[in-house]
Amino acid sequence: MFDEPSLRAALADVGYRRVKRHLYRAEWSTEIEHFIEFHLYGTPKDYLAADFGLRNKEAETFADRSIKAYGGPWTKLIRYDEQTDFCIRFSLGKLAGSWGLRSSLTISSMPGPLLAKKVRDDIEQKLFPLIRDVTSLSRFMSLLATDIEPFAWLYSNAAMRAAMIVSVAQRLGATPDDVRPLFEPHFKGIAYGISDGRNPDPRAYIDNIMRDAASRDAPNSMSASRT
Amino acid sequence: MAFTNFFETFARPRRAGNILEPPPDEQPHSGSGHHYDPNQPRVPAGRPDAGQWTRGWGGAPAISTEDIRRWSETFQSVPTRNRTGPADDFHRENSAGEVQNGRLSSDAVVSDLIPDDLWLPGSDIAAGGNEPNIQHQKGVAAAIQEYARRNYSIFVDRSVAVDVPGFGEPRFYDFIVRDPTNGYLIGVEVKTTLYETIRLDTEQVAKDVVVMRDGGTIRSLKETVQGVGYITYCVGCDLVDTRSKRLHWALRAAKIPFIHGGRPGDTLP
Repeated sequence: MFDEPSLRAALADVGYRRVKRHLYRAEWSTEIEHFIEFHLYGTPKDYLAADFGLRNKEAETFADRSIKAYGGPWTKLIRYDEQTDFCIRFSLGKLAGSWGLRSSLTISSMPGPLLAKKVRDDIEQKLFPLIRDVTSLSRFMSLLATDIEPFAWLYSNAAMRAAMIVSVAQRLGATPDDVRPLFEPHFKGIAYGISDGRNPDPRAYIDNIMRDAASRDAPNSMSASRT
Repeated sequence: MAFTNFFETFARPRRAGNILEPPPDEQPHSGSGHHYDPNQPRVPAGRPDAGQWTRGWGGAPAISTEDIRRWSETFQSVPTRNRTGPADDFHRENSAGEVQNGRLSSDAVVSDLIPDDLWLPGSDIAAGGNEPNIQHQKGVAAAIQEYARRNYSIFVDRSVAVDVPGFGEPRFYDFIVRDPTNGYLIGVEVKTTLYETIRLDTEQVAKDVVVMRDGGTIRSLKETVQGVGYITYCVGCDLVDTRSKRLHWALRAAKIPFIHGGRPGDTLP
């Protein structure tokens, strides 16, 4: 049986507080918020997977609006909760490298307090060296732009990630020409993110979101001025 | 990588040991407000965006080579994924789902990545309890390896919720892969059994058909899923017995590939 009280206590040791069921937010978050979200699955639910994620709320909101403004019809299906959603997320179990099949821990294989300790230790020893100091916009910008494990673009909606970069870069004082080269290696992924891969135009999407960020208008009100 | 050149071109030198962070007095939103800075960079006149994006510490967002080096060193345990290899026709050539002599056709799928000791024939019946759950987990892991071996990118390796138009509850797929040829995300359902019937689920099949037609959205990642695949592992089954026939035909009509295997690591025929 899943021992949530033990897990909650262990996460509190490393500065995470429960937000809602299976979702924890770092108390040491700044304008860059850090989350851990757990997933229970199996029949019975005997497997525990976890994602770690980062969010700048303004960038995340901008990305959500951007993809809904310029993405394909399927983007209307996206459900977005400004309080708790974060889409820059990666597998904690994969990062830890010792969680077992499907980057998951088997709940029945160890006592609850031991499982909680393992999660806490992996956060402290494997995750914190990577993300604990990502607490400023500039460091978040670096993380978004880089394409190395464990933060590879492969695991993200590239169109949303590009929009976050535009939002953050704009606040850091970059020019569009400074930022544009960052996207060239990811045009294919951005095209997948904004469309269904059949009729994508990632350059136009980038131009649109850069203009939106500069004008600070909501992208979803700028459909008349699409490139 | 492009951002390396970008950094070398634009990023300004920072304090030793912390080249990413601007000094506190350069933070764009620190302090009591913005002050005029005659050295603040401007977008040259004549450009459409002239005069914009010039607040704060200017220059460019620093993509720290130091961070990249540190992250790379810290994450040495993860092997580099082959992201550029050509996709084979694993999914596409099976999409017809033809039935031949009572078996679903598929290309030979043989993986040497899953050791035999992962699979314990008979254990799901003999042990009862959680064994079917364990065997399913192993079956899913084997299926993931099979897709990875064929250059599909593993997008999510755990059970994941996909919102489907017209349904209040999400469809949970065992994992999600990306087809490297067309970029489509595919939700994969793995069915495992021993000497038993592969039983399809009415609601799952209904959602699968809609996903194939209209797509679905991965709730946590805001990405669309545009394809569905089934892999079955049925130890001791000479013939595939998929119930109900009506649901099986619904999958076929939607061109959802249905790959049948004996045990993880091989498929029939």
